[in-house]
Amino acid sequence: MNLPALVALLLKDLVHDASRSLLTFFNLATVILTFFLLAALSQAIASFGRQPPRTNLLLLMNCQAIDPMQSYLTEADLEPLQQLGPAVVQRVFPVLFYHLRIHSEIVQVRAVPREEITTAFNLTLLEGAFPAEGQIAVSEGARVTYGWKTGDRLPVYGSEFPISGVVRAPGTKFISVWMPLETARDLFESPDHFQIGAAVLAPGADPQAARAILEADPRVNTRNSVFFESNLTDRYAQGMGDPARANQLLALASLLAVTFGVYNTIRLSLEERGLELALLRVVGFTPGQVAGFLAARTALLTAAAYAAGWICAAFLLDWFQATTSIILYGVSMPLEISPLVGAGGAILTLCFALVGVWLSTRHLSARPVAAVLREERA
Amino acid sequence: MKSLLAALALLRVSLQDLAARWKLTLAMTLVVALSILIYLVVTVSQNEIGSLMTRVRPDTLVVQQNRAFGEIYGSRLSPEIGNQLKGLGIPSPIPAIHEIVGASIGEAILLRGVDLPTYLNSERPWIVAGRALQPGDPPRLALIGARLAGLKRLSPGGSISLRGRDFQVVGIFRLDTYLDNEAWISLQDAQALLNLGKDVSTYEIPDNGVLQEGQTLPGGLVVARKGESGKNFARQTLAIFTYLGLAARVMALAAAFTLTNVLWRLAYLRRRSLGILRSLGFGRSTVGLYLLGQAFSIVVSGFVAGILGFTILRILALSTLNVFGLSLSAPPGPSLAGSLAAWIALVAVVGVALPAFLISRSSLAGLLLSEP
Repeated sequence: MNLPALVALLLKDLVHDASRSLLTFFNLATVILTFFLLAALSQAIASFGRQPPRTNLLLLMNCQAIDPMQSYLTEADLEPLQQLGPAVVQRVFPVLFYHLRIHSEIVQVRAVPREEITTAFNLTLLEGAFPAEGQIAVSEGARVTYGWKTGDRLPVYGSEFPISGVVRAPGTKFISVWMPLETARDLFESPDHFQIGAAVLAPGADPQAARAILEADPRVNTRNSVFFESNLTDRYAQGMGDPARANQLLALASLLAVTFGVYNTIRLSLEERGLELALLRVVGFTPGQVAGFLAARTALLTAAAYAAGWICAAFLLDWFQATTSIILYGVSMPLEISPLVGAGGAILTLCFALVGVWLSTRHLSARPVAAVLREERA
Repeated sequence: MKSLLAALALLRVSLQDLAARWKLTLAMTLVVALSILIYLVVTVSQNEIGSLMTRVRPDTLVVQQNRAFGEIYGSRLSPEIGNQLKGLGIPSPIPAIHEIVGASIGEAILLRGVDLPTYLNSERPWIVAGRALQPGDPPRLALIGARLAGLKRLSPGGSISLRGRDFQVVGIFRLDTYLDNEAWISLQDAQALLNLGKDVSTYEIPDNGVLQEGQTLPGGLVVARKGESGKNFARQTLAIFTYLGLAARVMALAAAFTLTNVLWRLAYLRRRSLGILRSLGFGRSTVGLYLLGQAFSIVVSGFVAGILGFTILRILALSTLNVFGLSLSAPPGPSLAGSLAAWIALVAVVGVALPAFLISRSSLAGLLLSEP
C-alpha cells in the first residue's frame, strides 16, 4: 500500500471513529503537555546560571565560598594575579558581590571600578547612562521582571540610589544592580576587603595556562580558587543538581502514561472492532500488517497529540511566566521548550506509544481468524 | 433494602467486568498511580519547603547585616555590635554564626555556631538521641539536626566533616523547621573554622520594644523578625514548586481523561447489558453506579500503588535529596491526605461524568438493539 493511500485510510478510520479518536487524542495531549511542562523545567534548571563562555576574565574567590557573597578577599590576595605580568594580565581589580533584598526581591548587587563596567564585564548600555558616583544601573532582566527604570530610586542596603541607566549583561538572564566600586565601599563600609578578584587577560595570553599557574601557586590554592567568569554561577547550578535529576525522572515517568494510555486504547479497539480487524485479515492482511495499521494509526494520533501538547505547553508557559518569575539568587530561570527537547521528546513519545501498541498486539497472530469471527458472531 | 441489594449486585457486576479485563485495569491503575506519584512528590516538596522555611518567631528579633539571608549565611558582625546592643538596654543578646559549608553546593551543610551558655534560651530543641552541647564541652563536638542525621546516616558517636575538619556528633535534635538540616557547633569552634576572629553573624534579641522590626542601624545593620531569612530563602524556591503544582494538575487532568476514555469504552462494550438492566426496572442512575464502582476501584488501587511508589522513592531517592543544604525527607502528613482524597475524588467524578452522560442519554431501545 502506498503512503498517501495509507494516510487517507487512517484519516478515514479516525474520522469514522471520531468520538473515541478524540478522547484518545485529548488523553495523549494532556500527558504530553505534562511531559513538556516538566521538560521545560528540567531544561531551565540545566541551563541555570550558564553564561556564554568567556575566557579573557579570570576570577579569584575563596574556595570554601559556595555563594560568592561568602568570599572574603583583601588586596594581598590579588598579588599573585598582578605578578603574572603585563604580557598575561592587563588589569586586576576587586569586585564587591552581594545578594541583597531590594523591594522584597533578592537581587545580585555587583560593584566594580567605573571604567571596568563597560570593558571587563561587557555591559551594553540600553538607556540612560552608566552609573556615576552615588548612582546605580540595573540590568535589563531587572527592568523586565520588576519594572525598575531609569530615574527610579531604589533602596539598597539602607540608602536610596537613583537609577542612571539600564544595561544588558551577557546572556541577559541576570537580575542585577551595578554600582561604582567607590560608592559600594562607602555603602558597605568595606574599604579593605571584597568578595571577588578579577583579572583581565592580555590579548594573546593563554587563559588556561594563566589559570594553571595561579592554581599551582600556594598563595592561591591554599584558600582560593580561580575560574572563568562563565563559571561564576555554576555553583548555583550544582545546588539544583538533585532537583534537576528528580525532575527528569518525573518527566520520563509522565511519558510512561503514554504507553499505558495507548495500550488501553488499542486493547479496547481490538475488543470493540474485532470483526473489522478480522475482516482485514480475511481480505489478505497479515497479523503483522494489522498491527502495523494500528501502529500507524497510533503514530498519527500521537503526532497530532504531540503537536497539540507542544502548542498548549507554549501558551501555558507564556501565561505562567507572565504572572510568576522563577528567580534563584537573582538569576532568572526562563522556561522554554528548545527544539532539542521538542525533537527528543517526539522520538521518546513515539517509542513509548509503539511499546504500548506492541504490548497490546503481540498476541494478535496467535488468534486464528476463524476463531475471532466465531466470537464476534456469538 | 431491595434497592441496596440491587445496587450491590450491580457493583459486583461492574467489578467483575474490570476483573475480566485485568490487563486494562492494571494499565489504568498505573496511569492513576503515576499521576498520584507526581502529585505527591511535588506537593510534599512544596509543603516541606513552605512549612519549614516560613516559621517566623513573633517574639524574637534578629540583628544582622542588611543582606538577604543573614540567618543562613552572609552576615558578619563585630563583637562591638553586641556591646552596642547591651548599651541600648538589651541585657543579653544571643550571638550566633550562620554559614553554608561543604566541598560543593551539592553537598552543602547548614552550619550554626552557638553560644553554649545561652543557645538553649534561643532554641528549645527536642533531643532525640544523645545529648545537647553544654558549657564546658571540649572543642570539636557537634549537635546535628534530625534531617541532616538522616541524610548523612549519622548517630551520636559518629563523626561529621565540616570544612575538612572532623567533629564528633554528641546528639541529634528536632525542631521541625529547616533548622533540622543544621549542624550546631560551639561559637568558638565556628569562629576558628570560618576564620572569623571574634566576629559573629547575628545577635538575637527579645521583641521588647527597644528595637523595632525593619529598623536600620548604623553600619548597614537591620533588625528582622526571627525566621525572616528562611522565608526569603523559601520564597525563591516556592515559584518552582508552584510551577510543578501546575504540571501535577495537568497530570491529574490526563488521568481523568484516561479514566473517561476507558470507562466510556467499557460501558459502551456493555451497553446492551446496561439496557437489559434498565428494562428490568433499574433507573438511569444504574449507569452512574456501574461506572462509579469501576472508577473508584481503579482510582483507589492507583492511590495505593502511588503511595507505595512514593514511599519507595522517598526511601531510595528523596531522603538523599539536597537542595542548597536542605533535605526533603518528610513523609506526607495528615493535611496532605485531605487534599489527596479530594484530588482522587475529583479525578473519579470527572472520569465518570462523560461516559455516564453519554450512556444514560441513549434510549432503552437503542441500548437493547445494539450489537452485543
